[in-house]
Amino acid sequence: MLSETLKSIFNKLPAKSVHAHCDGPCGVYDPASARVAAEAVLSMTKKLIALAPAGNDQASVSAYNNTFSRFVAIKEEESQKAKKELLILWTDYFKPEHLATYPDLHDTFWKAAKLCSACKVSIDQSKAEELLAAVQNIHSMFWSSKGRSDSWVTAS
Amino acid sequence: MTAGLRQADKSLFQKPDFFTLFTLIIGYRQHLRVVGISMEETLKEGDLITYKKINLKRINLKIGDIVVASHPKVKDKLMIKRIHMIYKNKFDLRGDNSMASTDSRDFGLIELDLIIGKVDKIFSK
Repeated sequence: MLSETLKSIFNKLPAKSVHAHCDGPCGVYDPASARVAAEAVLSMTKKLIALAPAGNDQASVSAYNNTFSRFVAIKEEESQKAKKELLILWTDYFKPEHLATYPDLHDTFWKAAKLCSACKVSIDQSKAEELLAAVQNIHSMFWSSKGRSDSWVTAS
Repeated sequence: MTAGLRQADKSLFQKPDFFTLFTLIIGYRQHLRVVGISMEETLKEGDLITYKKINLKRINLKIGDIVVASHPKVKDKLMIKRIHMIYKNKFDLRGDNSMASTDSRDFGLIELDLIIGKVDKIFSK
């Protein structure tokens, strides 16, 4: 009876909070953001390869240049976005402890980030496909580190 | 240098008692309520901890101690971590739940003057 009363008092005792905190609580991170960006890079790369002017007249050349520029800008932007999302996972989510389970973690992320740069500097479908494959590999590492085996699903 | 203890010091866990309540009332000890999961190997959300303020003339901190410290980057935020390593007067603080802890691996070593107290009792919720 007495111990129950004391326990109740201690549980209700007004107290300031002390944070056993984690700035990025688990669940906030998700490789899906990098996947969407990598898919967009691949899509824009394919569109750029397929793009051709409708004719040799000034209007066709202008339309081609305009579309080409827009596709390149989107490819550039999405490559950078993919790199940013990967770096967040690498530096914020993954901890040194994960290296025991994934010894090639640093190499995987480093090469994936390099592929983001390669996709920016060229119109190379094989590099864009390699980037998507690298993100898929990271997807598997990420979810297995959380004890899950979420399926790899693409939007396109 | 010795690696910090990962397991909780079981002697810290106590049942509520009048003496502790009295020491809290007179201010001999301070108390705080745990929020978050980074110490979850040891401390659960809602647990009550008590601590004594650090006496700078007689510092008695060692590897494995659980301490209350001011967050180095967020004003007026207190955090609770375990001393993992001590380098002269700088402390490597880590959460017991290493997979979900923001600690010295992120914000670096903590100066002694940021450490407020050493946890001496834990009362599970």
